[in-house]
Amino acid sequence: MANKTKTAMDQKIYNPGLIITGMCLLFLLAAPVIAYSGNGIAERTAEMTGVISGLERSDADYPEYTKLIEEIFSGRRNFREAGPILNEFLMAEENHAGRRYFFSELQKTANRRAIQYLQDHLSHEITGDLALQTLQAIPGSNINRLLRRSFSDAPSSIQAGIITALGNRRDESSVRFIAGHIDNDNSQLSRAAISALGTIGTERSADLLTEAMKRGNHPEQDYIASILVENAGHFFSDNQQTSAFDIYSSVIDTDPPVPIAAAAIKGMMETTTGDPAEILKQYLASSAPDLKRELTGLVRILPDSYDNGIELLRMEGITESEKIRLIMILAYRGDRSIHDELKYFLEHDDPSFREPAIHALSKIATAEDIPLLVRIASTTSGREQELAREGLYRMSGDEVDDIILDKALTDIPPHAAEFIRAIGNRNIPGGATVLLESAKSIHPAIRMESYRSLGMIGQPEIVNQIVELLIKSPDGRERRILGNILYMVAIKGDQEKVNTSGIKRYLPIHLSPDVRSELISVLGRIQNPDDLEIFLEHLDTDDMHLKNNVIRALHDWPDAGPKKELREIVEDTDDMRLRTLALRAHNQVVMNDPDLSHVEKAQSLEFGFDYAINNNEKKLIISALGRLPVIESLRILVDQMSNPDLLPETESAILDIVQDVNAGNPVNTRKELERALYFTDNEEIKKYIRD
Amino acid sequence: MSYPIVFTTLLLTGGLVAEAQMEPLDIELPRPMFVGTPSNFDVERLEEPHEAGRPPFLAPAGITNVALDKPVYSSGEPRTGELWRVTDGDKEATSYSVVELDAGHQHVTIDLEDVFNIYAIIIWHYHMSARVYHSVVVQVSDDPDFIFDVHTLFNNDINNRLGLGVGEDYHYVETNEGKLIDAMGVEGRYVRLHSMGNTDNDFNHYIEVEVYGN
Repeated sequence: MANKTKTAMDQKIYNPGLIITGMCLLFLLAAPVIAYSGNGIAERTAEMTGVISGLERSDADYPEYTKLIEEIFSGRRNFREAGPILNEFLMAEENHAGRRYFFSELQKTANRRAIQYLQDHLSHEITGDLALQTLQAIPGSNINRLLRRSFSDAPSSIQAGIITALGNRRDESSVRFIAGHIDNDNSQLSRAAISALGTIGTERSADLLTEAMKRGNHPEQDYIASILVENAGHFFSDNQQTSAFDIYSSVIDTDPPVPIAAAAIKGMMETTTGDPAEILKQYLASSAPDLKRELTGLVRILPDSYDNGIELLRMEGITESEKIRLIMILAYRGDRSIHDELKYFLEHDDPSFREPAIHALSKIATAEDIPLLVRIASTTSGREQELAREGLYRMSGDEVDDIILDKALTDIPPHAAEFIRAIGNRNIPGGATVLLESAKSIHPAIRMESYRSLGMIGQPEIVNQIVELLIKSPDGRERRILGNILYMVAIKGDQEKVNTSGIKRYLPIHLSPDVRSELISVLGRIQNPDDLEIFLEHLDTDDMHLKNNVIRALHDWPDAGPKKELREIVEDTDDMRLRTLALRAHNQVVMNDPDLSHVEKAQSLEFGFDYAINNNEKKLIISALGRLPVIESLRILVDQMSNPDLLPETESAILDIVQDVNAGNPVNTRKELERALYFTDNEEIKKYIRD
Repeated sequence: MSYPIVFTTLLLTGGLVAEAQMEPLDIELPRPMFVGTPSNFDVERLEEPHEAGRPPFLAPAGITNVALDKPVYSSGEPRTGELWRVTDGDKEATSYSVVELDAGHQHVTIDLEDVFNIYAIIIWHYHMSARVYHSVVVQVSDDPDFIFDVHTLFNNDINNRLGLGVGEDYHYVETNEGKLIDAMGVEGRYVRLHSMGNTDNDFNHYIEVEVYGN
């Protein structure tokens, strides 16, 4: 039978309603796919191109770009569409900034797709570097493998970078790979391999480098040696001293250049379990001169306990220059074993040897060396003398002070002078007593040093004794020096008012005018206000020499206390020197007085123009008026303009004060300036009148 | 032979002899402490530096530094250093060799202890760094009070701040060369040097003063 009746199931499967519904559903599901493909590609391409190419512009939208990269490499964008657009952008030489930005963003992504993308770019000249940099920053042993795999296809510049990157990543699994390039004909790769092994810094990598170095014929022999020395330093820092020592000694065995050899020997000294001094001696004895010079400096790193430097000095082949250098270093270490060796250099003809020898002696000297230092100080000058003296000053030990105090009074004069000097510089307790004694010596040098040291350590309690010395001083020069010392000693201590009784008590007794003058001069420098009466009393003297000295002493008195008496002298005397000294002192004390107003000062100064002995003295007064901005000063200055020899000075002083005077008294200022124009055409003065 | 001819001949010969006895002054300079001489200072009338160094100074043969180790006095107590260093021969710009005087107008006086014919005075203020000292005045006299017979050899106190007259000389930058002042053979025993601070601070400094004479 041909027509078979259909079953119910058949009827259900072939229901037209179901078919239509299914097709609609399928269409709805497929619609996005259909929309995305075909005509949507162009739009997406344009959009991506717009974003990517815009990156090179200065107003690039970085967040949008970052988002795009993330979408591409996470798979949310079609990589097959995006890839070419990216490549075109990245391969364009001019897109520097955009390229850098892209790779830095890709580092953050760092998923499999990104890593693969980076690997692909390793073989390109333009992007290889950046791709390598990015990969280097991504952790993981897979990256190390990737780098090794990519090596052969990469350009040689990138190859060197790959080796370096593996080194920087301290990838121990790459040691063998890298070591394979130590002997590469390409020197760039060879050096990269050597450096990378050094960076990895394992014992294995060090062994491979050592092997290469020991062959002795490697073109980068010295470079390997320097890398190994560096490596050894790291081992030393990691407390692997034995490994470090082995490396250093293997380096030195290959006879490297001096800097590397010196570093290796230094390393051996630092890492040896034996005596570093023995190593130093061994190489000092056998090295060429260049290296010997470097090695002398290594004495510094010997342990503090080493105090037998003399053995180094006595080694054969050490030149004088090296010896003196060793001596300095050993002296700074306090190594007294070198003491006897100094003698030769202390007497050397060449000062460039003598000076360091004296310096060294000053560092290690003890009380036994005092006579030697004193002899040197007393027989030399300049730097040598300074160094010897310094040695004496810095020497420690109680017995040292006792010896100095004793010898200051008993030794021969040239030596005694040095001992006396040392008393001052060492500030020896009880030294003042000795100095007061030595200050009476018949030898001028001893006296001078005594005065000097008294000035340094004397206290106000000994003022009387210094006055006694001054009274008995043999000449004017020493008297003046003692006056200075007296002043220095009297003013010591925290005194609101310096006690001058120790000086004043001598004034009533009979003193020579010179001595009296000197004491008055000291009182003048001390400026105790209670002493003004003494000065005024002494102004009455008939002794012109003393009178002049009193006036000189009053010159810097801090107030106008002596003003009246000084003016009287100016007006009464015919002695030009006396008059001038008194006038100068008068004007100075007037200017010093803090309680006088500017007007009072100006009025006080004015009389001086009638008594000044010449224009030079008038210029002093003019200068003072130039510091008193009041109308009285202006009037006086204009009066003086009638003297053409004083015109530059009066103009200058007027211009100094006119602005301030004008501010307080414009009417009279103008009058005075107009008066001034009778005498001058000064443009600045005219300007003041105009303005 | 006529007397005018004899006289003229003698005059010319004497002149030639005198000319022949002049020679460049041999000045030992300390180490320079800086390279080049800056000139950007806010001072009026600043001297241009000698880029090629100071030209030789001609002076009579055989003159010496007559100030060496001579006593020095000052208007005020030194703040640091000792006055004898001004004539100790050490011109290096170190803290050891400098004397510092207080702010304001200060002077140092060198007593040559005899009267000399002075041909050149060279001053080294502090020259560790470039600076200009104000109101530098240099005087020579036989009189310790500087009242009589005073010769002012140099004065750049353009405003008469010191009362020694308005100066017409130029300010200058301190260098290791020092400031050389032509004293033209003036006679004197005392040399006084004034100043009033500098462009770096208000204090006054001396490292060395040399006085060449016979």
